[in-house]
Amino acid sequence: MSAYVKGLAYLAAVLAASAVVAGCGAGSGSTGSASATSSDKGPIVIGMSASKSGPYSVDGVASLEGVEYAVHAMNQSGGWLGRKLELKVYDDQSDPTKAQQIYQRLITQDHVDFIIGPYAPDLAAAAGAVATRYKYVMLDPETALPIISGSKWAIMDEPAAKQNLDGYPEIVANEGYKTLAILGVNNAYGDECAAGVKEEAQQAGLKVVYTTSYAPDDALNSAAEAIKARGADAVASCSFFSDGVALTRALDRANYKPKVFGLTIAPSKPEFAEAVGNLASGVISNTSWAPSLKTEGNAEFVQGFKAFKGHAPDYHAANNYQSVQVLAAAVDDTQSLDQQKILDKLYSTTYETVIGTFKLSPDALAVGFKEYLYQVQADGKEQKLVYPDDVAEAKVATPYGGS
Amino acid sequence: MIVVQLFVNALLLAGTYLLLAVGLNLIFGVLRVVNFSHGGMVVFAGLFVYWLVLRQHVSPVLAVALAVVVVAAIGFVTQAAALARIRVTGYDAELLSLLATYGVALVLVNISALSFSADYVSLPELQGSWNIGSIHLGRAAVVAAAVGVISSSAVLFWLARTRSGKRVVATAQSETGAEVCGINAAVTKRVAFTLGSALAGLAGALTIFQSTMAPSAGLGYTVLAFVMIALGGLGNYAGAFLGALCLALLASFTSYYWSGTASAIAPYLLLLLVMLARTRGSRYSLV
Repeated sequence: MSAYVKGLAYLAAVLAASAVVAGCGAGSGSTGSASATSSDKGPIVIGMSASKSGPYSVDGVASLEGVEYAVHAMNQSGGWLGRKLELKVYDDQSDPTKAQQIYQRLITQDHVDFIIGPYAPDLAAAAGAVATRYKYVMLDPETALPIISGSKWAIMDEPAAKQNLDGYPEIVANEGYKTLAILGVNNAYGDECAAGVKEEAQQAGLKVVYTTSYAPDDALNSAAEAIKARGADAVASCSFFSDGVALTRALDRANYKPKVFGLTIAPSKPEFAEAVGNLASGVISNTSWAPSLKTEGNAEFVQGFKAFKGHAPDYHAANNYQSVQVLAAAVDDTQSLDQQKILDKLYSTTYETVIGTFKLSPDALAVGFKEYLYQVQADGKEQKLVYPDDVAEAKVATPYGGS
Repeated sequence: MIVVQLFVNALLLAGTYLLLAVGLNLIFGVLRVVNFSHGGMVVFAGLFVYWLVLRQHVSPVLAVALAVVVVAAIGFVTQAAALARIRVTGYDAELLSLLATYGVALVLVNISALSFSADYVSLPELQGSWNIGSIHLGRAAVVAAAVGVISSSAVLFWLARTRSGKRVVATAQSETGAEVCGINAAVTKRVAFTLGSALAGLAGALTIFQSTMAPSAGLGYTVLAFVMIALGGLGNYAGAFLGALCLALLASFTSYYWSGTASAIAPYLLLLLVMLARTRGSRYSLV
């Protein structure tokens, strides 16, 4: 047995060594040509880590593209304070430890002027600790949860998880249905989002007939059987991609079609329709942004992004563009790069952005943004905004038609 | 009726689990190697099939066959180029084998991410269910379970009833003894590792039709398969089936009557209980 212990020790040593090697190599992903120290006359440097590889890479790259376009577009219009912008990016490999090392490096070695937070809450928490320690403003457009309790520096800069299915219970009730099943992946996101749905379901007069939380890799067969056994009219699931696909399939396997089917996150990705085929048709999901929104600069953003990147932006790109938009406005208002002045400005001002109104609560949460609901329609080919009414592009079609 | 449905779901899940475990069990039984690249092979095959079907428009059946062949070839090369070159014996050999296969896993996972998909993906070809009265059987699960049971039974039959299979059993029981009897142990090991890898490839190729898969999920598959064969006794085929069935029943019933979170913890609690109850382990036996 001691040899096995020794073996595990060797394995740990090898893993640690590979982490060091990977960490050393991370710098090779940097873009731009920022000098080690940003001077008063040189470019203003924005630093961030991006999940260019690892499990978050698809969304991580989409996020990075939003910042890249923002830097490009703002340089086209003269930069900030008459200075050009540069972007310094390192690949965090979807790893919170690497993200933390990267933000430490960006602040203490690269001396960047501003930072933008990374993709996903776990990386945001790791990076937020560094931002808080060095008193750097970190807007994080990719976390829907509070980042560091008590810190004003690490700022949740997108709609909160609790808002993710805002309006969904109202849709269910308006369509004449009475009962709802609520599921949530067993992490802070799932808990917060499910709590929000439950609260609103009670306000809408719906009866919640089933609630459960589950591990992200659950096949959800038993949950589907439970939903079927209770005859829930509607299902709301606070899920990520993999579990969203699993629930869609599990309900299909169980021969159960809820009348209304709502899933967070998964349907926004093209891989969802690839994975579930025509079961995607009729699913309702959430987004913080859509190209059709009449928000500040949105039409120009959509057009400019397409011309710059050769494809349409998604909500990750829009969220990230928004963070740079907000920083730009704060720099312009204060005529300064001073972190404390920028922070004070952010907490005392509201800004109109491509995803809506940026407004901070005292506990570092963006509370001005809305979450919108869309439905997959036209046999899965189109996503149409259906809620709220003032932005709706189509009426909600029920019952859920995935077949 | 819900109990019957949950039991049917568990049986189908056990078949899929068995498919995941059978290759790992064969390799451990013969080579005494905990193949850390098992999960890497599973996701490589699954994502390779995804890439072939969706991006290259290859028929699913041909894609599955190609994935099995490619992963078998990877297994052959891994054994010949890495494992066969380990000259030490005993625990040192096991440790080096573990490290070597871990390295292969990293390579496979990164090739999968760079070449096929870095994100979670799946294929919809076998969606839907077949119904027997009010009992429904998911198509992808039925296919995976059937292949799992058939391939596992075929391996068991091969080991127990054929001359070449008996060579493998003999090598597993005593490499020195087998060589004294004229069995080429090096070739036997290569055959076992290649076959075990092919089975991992088959598992991945079929899993992509019933659940999502991403390169990062590789280690999870290795751990799941390892828990199953550890429950049943490492290298023991009948035990692996029992282990798979126990895990599937636990997953199905705890998830329904308790919660999905509980069902995720249950397998590891069961493994701990089994290890506490059988501190000397199960008797090592291939068949």
